[in-house]
Amino acid sequence: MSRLLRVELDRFASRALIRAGVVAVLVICCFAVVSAWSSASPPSQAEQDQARVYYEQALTDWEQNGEQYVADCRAQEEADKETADDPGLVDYGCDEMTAPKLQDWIGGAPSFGRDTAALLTSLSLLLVLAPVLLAGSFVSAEFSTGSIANWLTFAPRRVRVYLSKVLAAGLGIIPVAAVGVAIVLGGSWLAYRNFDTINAEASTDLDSPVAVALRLVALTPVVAVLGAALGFLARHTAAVLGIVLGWVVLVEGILVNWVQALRPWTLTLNISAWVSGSAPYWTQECTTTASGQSCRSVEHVLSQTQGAVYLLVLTAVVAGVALLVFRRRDVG
Amino acid sequence: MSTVSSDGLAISTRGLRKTYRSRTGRRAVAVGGLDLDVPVGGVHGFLGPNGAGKTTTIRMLLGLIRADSGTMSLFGQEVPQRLPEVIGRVGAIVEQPKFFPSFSGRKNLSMLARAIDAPTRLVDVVLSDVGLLDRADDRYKGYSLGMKQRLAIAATLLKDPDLLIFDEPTNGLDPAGIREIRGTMRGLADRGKTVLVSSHILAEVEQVADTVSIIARGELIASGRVADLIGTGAAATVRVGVAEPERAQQVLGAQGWTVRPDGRYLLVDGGVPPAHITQALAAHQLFVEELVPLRADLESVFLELTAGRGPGTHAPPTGDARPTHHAGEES
Repeated sequence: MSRLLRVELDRFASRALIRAGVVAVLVICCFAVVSAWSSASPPSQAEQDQARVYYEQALTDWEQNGEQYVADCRAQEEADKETADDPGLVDYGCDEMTAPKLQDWIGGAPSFGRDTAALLTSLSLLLVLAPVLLAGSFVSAEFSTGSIANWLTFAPRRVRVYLSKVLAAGLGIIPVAAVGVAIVLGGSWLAYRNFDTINAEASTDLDSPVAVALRLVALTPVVAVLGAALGFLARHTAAVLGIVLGWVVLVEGILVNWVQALRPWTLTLNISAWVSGSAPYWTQECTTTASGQSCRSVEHVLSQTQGAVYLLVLTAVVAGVALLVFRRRDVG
Repeated sequence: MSTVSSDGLAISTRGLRKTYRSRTGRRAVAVGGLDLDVPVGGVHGFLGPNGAGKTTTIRMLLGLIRADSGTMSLFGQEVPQRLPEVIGRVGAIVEQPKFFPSFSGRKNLSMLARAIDAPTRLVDVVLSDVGLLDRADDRYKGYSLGMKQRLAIAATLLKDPDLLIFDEPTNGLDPAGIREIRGTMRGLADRGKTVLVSSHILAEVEQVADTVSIIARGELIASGRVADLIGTGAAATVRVGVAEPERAQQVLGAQGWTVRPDGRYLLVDGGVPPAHITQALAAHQLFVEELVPLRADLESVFLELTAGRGPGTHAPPTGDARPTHHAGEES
């Protein structure tokens, strides 16, 4: 088994497509550093002056009309509550209407912790898709070229063959993810250090960029195993890509909007919950009023634990099904 | 030190059956109760028209596809149950060689060698054996078909196997390549290996095989030594060239022999000795210009046996197909 695993790791590292994919991932990570550089720099004097002009215009408007805005809002809210099927659902947020603040125009001060954690979170899509596709192609290419048949005449124990390939995909992707995340983390730190904005704002331990980076790296072997299992099932890289895109578009993009109860079970939300520590999602609650239908968004939070359990169970189920199929399937 | 099965067979199948379900849900029989015995040593031809079930049988023996029913053994070990124990003694090329296209020949073999814990220095030895050492670092996808075949043979040699299975090994090769492969197979057999070569190109098998099995529609229809099998085939015909073919046909016909014209020649069927033909014609002042015994070959036997037995057969169906027979049993 370990012998086969070593051979598969060698093959993983030697594949031209995987090398190209690794280069692409690292290049994108370098672009993320450029983005971090931009975020780390404080606004210029001209930008601050312009923002102040806009802020003062808004403040003047608020001072002249603010009370009327709030009064109008409350009046409409009260009117709709009287005719609503469920008055508790009518909330127009009138209490949140306050005077504008300069920060709303200038934006918050750069913060290494907050900004880099957000940057890494935004890279999670890349660091999920890339392992899935690279691992999927790593396995499916053997089926599409037919070399799996030759391989099985040398290593006929299919369970071992399966495990060696899936594990190789999972282990092989870890250094790639680690280097990519290290580039973003290190590059971002250098950028914020250059502008002396590292300690601009404290961040909680859970959101600290190092914790997010570690969770991202831990996520990649799991999704690589998922991708490899899909490779065994689909037996063609294009089919793996089709399954992934089909799931994202049809299930996560369309079906979830029809069936709100599915929201906490979407892949993207659970990945986000794992990487970010938790993930908010909203459902709509609507009531009929005299002026029509009134809806409000209700916020829910998906925990990091649920995200982790969801991802592990999903991967285990797909990998298990793929193993059963590979054990029984004829190899042409 | 290799061991030989107690029954002296490298391959044995009994009642081996495999069906495929088509997209319309219909079941097609690829192998229908095949009983096959391949003795240890020598080259054994595995013949049959395209679609007869040769490749399916080989894939089942190698554990690549599952049999619906029946039993198989390699060197007396039941497969697929005990395939892992015996696979080290079997080298196989199933249809076209299939390796990782973007890796070099050496890299491909190196990975296979490591998978079976063979010493990596063996890679260059087998590459040298098949004459690929100077192209070993070229990418596999740049190899010609002949080079791919040679690399596949080199891969099988990594195991130093007792049984080599070549499935249609000369497909797409030029005459020089075919001759080379034939020489390789014969050489391996001469070194004590058992070689099973499946093919529908009979001339190539006839030149190299010691024994053959002929299948059609997934069933064995004949097996045995090539010489014996040819002996049980169509009786020899003699082609006669003579100045007055019409009168000669009357003379020979009067002897009770079956004579038919063939262009400017006469064909005398029924295994009539050429000397008798000469004697009969000379007695009527007819002197032969040419007298050629047309020896039955494996192809004619094959065509006769597989007539009307499914896709790829080369003769029209007949109402009275010959009964299954085994040359070894009849001799």
